[in-house]
Order: sequence, then C-alpha cells, then structure tokens
Amino acid sequence: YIFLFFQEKMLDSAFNIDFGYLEGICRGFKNGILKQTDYLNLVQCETLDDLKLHLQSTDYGNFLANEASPLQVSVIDDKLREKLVAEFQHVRNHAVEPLTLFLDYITYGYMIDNIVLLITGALHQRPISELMPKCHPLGTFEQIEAINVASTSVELYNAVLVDTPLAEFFGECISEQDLDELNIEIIRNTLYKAYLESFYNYCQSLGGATADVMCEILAFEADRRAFIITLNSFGTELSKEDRSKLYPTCGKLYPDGLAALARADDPENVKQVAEFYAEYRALFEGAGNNPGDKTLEDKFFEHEVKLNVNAFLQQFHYGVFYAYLKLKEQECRNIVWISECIAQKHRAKIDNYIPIL
Amino acid sequence: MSEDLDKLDNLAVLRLELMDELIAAKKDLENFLREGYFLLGKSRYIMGVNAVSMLQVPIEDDNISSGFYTTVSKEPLSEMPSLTNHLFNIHIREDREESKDKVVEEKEVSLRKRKSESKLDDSEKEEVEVVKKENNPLNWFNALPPQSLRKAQEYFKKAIIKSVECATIQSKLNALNG
Repeated sequence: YIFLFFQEKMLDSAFNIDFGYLEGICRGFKNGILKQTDYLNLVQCETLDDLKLHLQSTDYGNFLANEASPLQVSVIDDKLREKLVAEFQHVRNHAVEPLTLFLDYITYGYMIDNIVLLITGALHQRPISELMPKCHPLGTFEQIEAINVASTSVELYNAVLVDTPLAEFFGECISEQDLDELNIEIIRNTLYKAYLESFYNYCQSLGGATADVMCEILAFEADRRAFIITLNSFGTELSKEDRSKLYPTCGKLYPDGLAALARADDPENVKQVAEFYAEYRALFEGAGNNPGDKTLEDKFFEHEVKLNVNAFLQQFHYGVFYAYLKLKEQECRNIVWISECIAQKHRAKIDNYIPIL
Repeated sequence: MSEDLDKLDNLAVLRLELMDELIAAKKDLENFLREGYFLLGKSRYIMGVNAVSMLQVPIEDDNISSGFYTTVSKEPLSEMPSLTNHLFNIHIREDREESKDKVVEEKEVSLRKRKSESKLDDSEKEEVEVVKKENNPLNWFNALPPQSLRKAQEYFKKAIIKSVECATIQSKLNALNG
C-alpha cells in the first residue's frame, strides 16, 4: 500500500527503482554530444573524408568505416541517424510503464513524417522499395507499406491508420478528396496538431518535474509550428480558415495569439503578434532575410536547444529522454550542414551550426 | 588604308568587349547556381535531408512541362551590320499566360457585378494563385515551402535566363569569327 503511494506521488527516491539505470545511461549518452572544440575541428575539414577522420575521435567512432568513398551527405545523415536509433531502442527496450508510453509518444511524430513521405512518393509514382529505406526507423509500424495503395484520406484511414496509435489523431481530416500536395500538407499538420495536444495532456497528467520540463518544451513547439505555418502559407492556396485549423492549441499563443495569427496577411503582421510575447519578440528581432542575418528558423532551433539543455538541470523525470533525442537530432543537423558546406565548397556560412554544449 | 586599320581596331576591341561580357555572364551564371544549391542545402537543414531529394521529383513526364521556352531569330550585329548572329530569347510558357488572361476576364466580370468588396479581394487573390499553382515544382517538396526553398527556385530561374544571355553573346562572338 505504501509502495503504491510512492508510485503515485513519484517521489524522487522512487524514480530510481524503475528508471535509475535508464536516466543514468541517458546522461552518459548526453556527455558524448559534440562540444565546441569538436565543431571547430570539423569546420576546418577540406573534404568529407577529413570529416570522417575527425568524427572517428568522437563518440561516433568508426560509423562510416564501411562506406564507399566518395562519401555523400545523405549517407552521412543516414549513418548518424542509425546510431541515435540504436541508443533510443536500447532505452525503449528496457523501459516500463509509464515511460514506455512516453517514449512511444515520441515515436508518433516520426510516424507522421513517414506517412507523409510515403504518400508524397506514391503521388509521384515512386516505387515503395525506393521509399522504404528513406523512412525514419523510429517511426515504422506494421502496416506502413500498405500506404501507397491509398489515394484518398478515407482509404488511408480505413486501410492503414485505423489499427495504429495514430488513429485517434485523424479526427476531422477525413474527406473524399484526392490526395494532392496541399491536402497532404493539411493532413500532416492536422495529425501533428492532435498528436502534440495529446502528448501535452499526457505530460501534464504525469505531473512533477516531467510536466514542468515537457510542457514548456511542447508549448514552444506548438507556438513555433503556428508561426512557421503562417509564414509559409503566404503566397499559397491555403485559406485563412484552413490555416487556423492547423494551429496547435497547447502553447502560449492560445487563444489570442492564434486568433491574431489567423488574421495575419504578411510577415509584418506575424511579427506584430510576436511582440506581445517576450521570448518570441526576442527571437523575431534577431532574425531577418538579408544575407548575414540569422533566419527565423535558426533562432527557433537555437531556442529549442536552450530548452532541451535546461531539461538536464532537473533529475528524476522523463524529459531527459526527449531532450537527449532532440539534442542529438540537432547535432545530426549540424554535422550534415557542415558536410554540405564542405561538399559544395561554399564555406561562407559554415559557422551557422548551433553549438549545443 | 587607314580605314581598314580602323576597322580592324574596332573589330579587335569589339571582340575583347564581347569576351568580357561573356566571362561576366558566365560568372553570374555560376554564382546563381551556387546560391541555388546552397539554399537547397539550407532547406534540407530545415526540412530534413529526405524531404528535399529525388524522391519528391515525379517520374512520369506527362504532367511536366517546362515553364520557359526559347525562340531563335537572326539579327544583325549591332556594331557591324554586315554580320548576323543568332538572338536567343526566352519566354514564359504561353498556356500559363493564357490562364492569366482568363482569370483577368473573370475579375472584370466580377467588377461589374460588384456586390461587395470582399468578393473583389477574393478574385484578385485568385489571379495570383492560379498562375502560381500550375506546374510549380516548388509544391513537389512541400505545399507550404520555406523561404529558403522559394529563394532557391528564384536563383535557378535567374540562372536559366542568364544561360540564354550567354548563348546570345557566344553566337555574337562566333559571328565575329566568321
């Protein structure tokens, strides 16, 4: 009875019974994230083979050893991801409830991306054998290959998604319309909105430090999506009402900010909406479209990294697993960016990576 | 005699000028292409490496038509009317322009029927959007493309136009050779 009481309150000391090993290993992985000195070495490489050599002295080791030269950027990206996936699977295999559900929630995001990749590929008549290797390994599920049979969203739901965890996120986007690029994008964003809100509610129900850390991160994710969707929709066929249905409501912008964004007509309006929120005002002020400025997406990535690093300041919560995954992804993006700059011999912006530690 | 010498001088100077123009045009072309590919790399950074790749490019050619076409005509070389060179011109594909006319007509009709201002705004937007929807390869990658992808497309378009200019200057040089 006392044990159940401990479980409910999730006292710090009770956390380690089930999750001490996993949190420890996660923090160990986190210490292997590339530091500023590593990045300085990478930036000075002249060729991708140099880069491979420098990565051998980091936690990545010989991960590119069996790849044929000349190396390609997409191969580097795939291999970086493989290592991350192996680490995540290890943690997932050793987890028990409620951490298993938490980790599963993280994978739903990748499932949504994979679905969109496969449908877009099918729309462009690509064979499934070409598309499957490009799917994110964390987002696979059993019926995933049946996706290219679907040509409307009703078929997609009935044939494939109804048995997956994503079924509950499908909600309103079912329609008889054929899947074209805009519909696919609407489906992606609607699914993601439902997923984000569900994840947010789940984290809140967990309470304690997990809720503290995760709800802040997820609120920022929701707001960032609202801003980016609005900015990217200018000049496309997406109507304002359709656009406002894609905004996740679990962020700070809900409800007034989202209503204002729904009315926005140009990037200036969006910036004015951001003026009302201190952190977002700072992000918009530092960004610009002139060469030499940081873009808004860069500022968002930076802020995300800051929030994820702060997650490690508290102990005994699940947020460290999420934060570790996201930080490693940013590291992958950094390495791929540096590789592209080296491969294209365009070194002007090679320092635009975001340092993590 | 001195006339002939003058002519020779003029020809030589003309040739050097054309070579200079050609080199400058080729440099611009290279720059546009470099910037375009760089911005593609930036889009991959934002959207993920697999979101901007050959997977998004359609295989079947039926639905794809190019947005530009070129015409060739002969014209006399401006400084030396006795020689002729090929003039390469680049045009936006006609059926796109046709659809633009069609929608402009609709807009005029709705102006006459003018019921409310909002209707006018809608049809104005329609004009812009119809032109942009048809065959825009930008939408292959994402229906809501980020700024970097749009800028990349602009750079590649500029590169196409520049390459046609290079062809014209090259044919002028060839004319001088003959």
